[in-house]
Amino acid sequence: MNKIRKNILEGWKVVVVDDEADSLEVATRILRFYGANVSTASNGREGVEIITRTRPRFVITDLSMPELDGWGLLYELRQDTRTIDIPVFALTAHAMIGDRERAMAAGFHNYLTKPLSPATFMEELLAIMETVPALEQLIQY
Amino acid sequence: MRQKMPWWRSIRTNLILFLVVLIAGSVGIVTYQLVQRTEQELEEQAFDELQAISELKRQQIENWLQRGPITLETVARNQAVRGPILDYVSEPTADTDHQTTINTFFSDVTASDPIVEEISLYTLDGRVLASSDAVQINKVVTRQPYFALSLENDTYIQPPYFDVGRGELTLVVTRLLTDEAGNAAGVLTGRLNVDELAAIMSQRAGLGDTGETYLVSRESNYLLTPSRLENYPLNRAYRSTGIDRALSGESGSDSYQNHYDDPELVLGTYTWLPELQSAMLAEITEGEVLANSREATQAAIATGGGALILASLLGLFLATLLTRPILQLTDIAGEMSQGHFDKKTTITGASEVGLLGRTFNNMSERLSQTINELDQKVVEIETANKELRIANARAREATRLKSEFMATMSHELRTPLNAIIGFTGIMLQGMGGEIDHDATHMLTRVESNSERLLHLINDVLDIAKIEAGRLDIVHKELEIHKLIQQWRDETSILADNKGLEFEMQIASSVPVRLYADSERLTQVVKNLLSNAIKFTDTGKVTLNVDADENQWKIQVTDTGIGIPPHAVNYIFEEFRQVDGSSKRIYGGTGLGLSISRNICRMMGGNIGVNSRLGEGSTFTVTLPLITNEKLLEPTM
Repeated sequence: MNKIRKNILEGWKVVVVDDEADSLEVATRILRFYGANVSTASNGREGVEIITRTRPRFVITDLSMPELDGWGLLYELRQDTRTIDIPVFALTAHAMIGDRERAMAAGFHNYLTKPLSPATFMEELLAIMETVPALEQLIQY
Repeated sequence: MRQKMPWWRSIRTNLILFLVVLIAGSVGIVTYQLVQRTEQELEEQAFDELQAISELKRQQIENWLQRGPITLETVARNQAVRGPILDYVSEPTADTDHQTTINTFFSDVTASDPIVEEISLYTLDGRVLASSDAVQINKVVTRQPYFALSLENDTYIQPPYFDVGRGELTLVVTRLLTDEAGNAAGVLTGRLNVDELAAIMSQRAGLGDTGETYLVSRESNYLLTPSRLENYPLNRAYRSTGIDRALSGESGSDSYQNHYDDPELVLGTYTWLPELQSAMLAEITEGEVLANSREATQAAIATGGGALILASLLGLFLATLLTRPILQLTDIAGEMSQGHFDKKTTITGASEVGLLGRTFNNMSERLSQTINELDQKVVEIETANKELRIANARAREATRLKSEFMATMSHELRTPLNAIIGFTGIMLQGMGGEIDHDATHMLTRVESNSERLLHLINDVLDIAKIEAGRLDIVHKELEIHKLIQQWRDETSILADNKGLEFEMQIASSVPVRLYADSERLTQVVKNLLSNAIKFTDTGKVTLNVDADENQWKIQVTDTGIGIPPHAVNYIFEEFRQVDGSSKRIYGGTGLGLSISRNICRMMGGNIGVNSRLGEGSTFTVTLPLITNEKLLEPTM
């Protein structure tokens, strides 16, 4: 973790969507620590609006939310040409094993497992960012 | 309801048949023997009778035959006529007075004696000199059968023959006459009245309706019977067993076919009469003799028939007597099988059947009682079952609610805990600004306790899922070598931290690809590996993977503190560790092995342990080897 450059996400617009404020704040703080420009939303509906407006480099979204859940959010983004290419990573609960497979099948680019561990979060995030060619070439270690 | 049965199966029919056969058989045998004996006796009687008749007639014939010679003897010795005869014989033509005297004498004799029909006198050269029948005079008798023998014997009886000249059966007696010097002078002949013989033969005393006696000659085949006397000469030989035997000189009795054109079976007595050179037969038809026996047979059959009818009635009566209780019992038993126990048998008495009836009533009563009790029991059991079902449903519902509660609670517990861990992590990583050494130390304690708590909550959630049956096993094709490498990567750091060696061996028999639930398998293996590292202070931890045709094995071996023998039995049970103190020293929830065992079993395998206290432990996970999707059981 020490190896990861502190400003590695400098200039990256990122949107995090989660209805749990604490979880949302932990993610936001970590991402901001690495220099990302983070916008947040507390449900899918809000998320779609912000994403469409800010056009981030990637989105991290919880699956289970009020108003519009993570699945719905993904669907909406894929319906809109402006957002169709934006990589979306799902946040799946540790206990909800089936969600990971379902998430991949539904079209999420990858997933991160909750609870988020600040010690390993960035490592995991970089690993999944490397699986998306569009993001991989933007990373500057 | 009584079942219909074929009539021949019923006791009644069988009993009647049995009695009928029994009586018909014995009556038949007795009748047959009776008839046999009667017939034998009747035949013996008939033979005796015939024998007696034959003997009587033989004597009568002999007596009758004696009388011819006696008459001639009387004539020959009569002084009144002897002189004229001798004179006349010596000089046949001299004096016709002599002839007249002699003729008259002869006529007188024949008139007074019914035996001799005709008396004649002929010379030694065969010329008839005198006769009671004038027609005979001057006839020549040299061609007659008796002529030669009449000259050689004093007295000769010519057996009956058919006189062609006279046209009738003839029986002649001769007497040789001698002169004073003793020389043969002439012959007296007497023709016997055959009617007398016929009269003897026609006596029918003791001969019944069909009996007859008759004579058969040897030479001329005549047959002398009262009825057939007129029918000579005969055109054919008369043959029968009796005739043949008598003609060959035998006498006796037998039963045989008689001589008629239309023969009948007769009982006959045959006797050879040498004087007549004839066979005498006395015969009576067997039919007549046995007629009485037939009557006896008919009487016996009538008696037997009567006995049969009686037997049938008796059989019917007995059978009804015997079967009525049985049929009644059958009816009542049928009612009982329909569930009606109110009917009772009316069979009484001290006999076995009465006993059966009483026993049957007792049985029926007991049965009825038992069934009532059983019905009551069934109701009780049904009530109990219903209660049990309700209790069971409640218990299931309670379990479900508990599991739901646990799941919800786990989630609710985890969310704030995640926040605590998250923020603690941020502070420890320095993402929330600089913090001093003391605070770092305390935050580390917060983090490790939070993680322990999270671990505990996760385990409890797993247990709840297992209990609720909601822990799903999803088999997927995977590259096992990669998975093993992942386990190594994720746990070797823990071993490194404790300065332990970490070894990994994968046998070449382990397939590259196989089907397993990687999540759950990882959960189990990581639990075993972390336990091994946790309980080992020095030495090494080894991960061994091996496979054979049907199953594959994952072994985790350590050189740690080991498990005492008594603990091996309960180490896989929930909330159990080797002892209470180890929990405090080593941490952990005590749920890991229990969850692991449940998962292994749900995957169709099992988990076991081998351990020596102070030397180390080996945990072995055994799983079915699935290399083909088709081998997946649908329940997995």
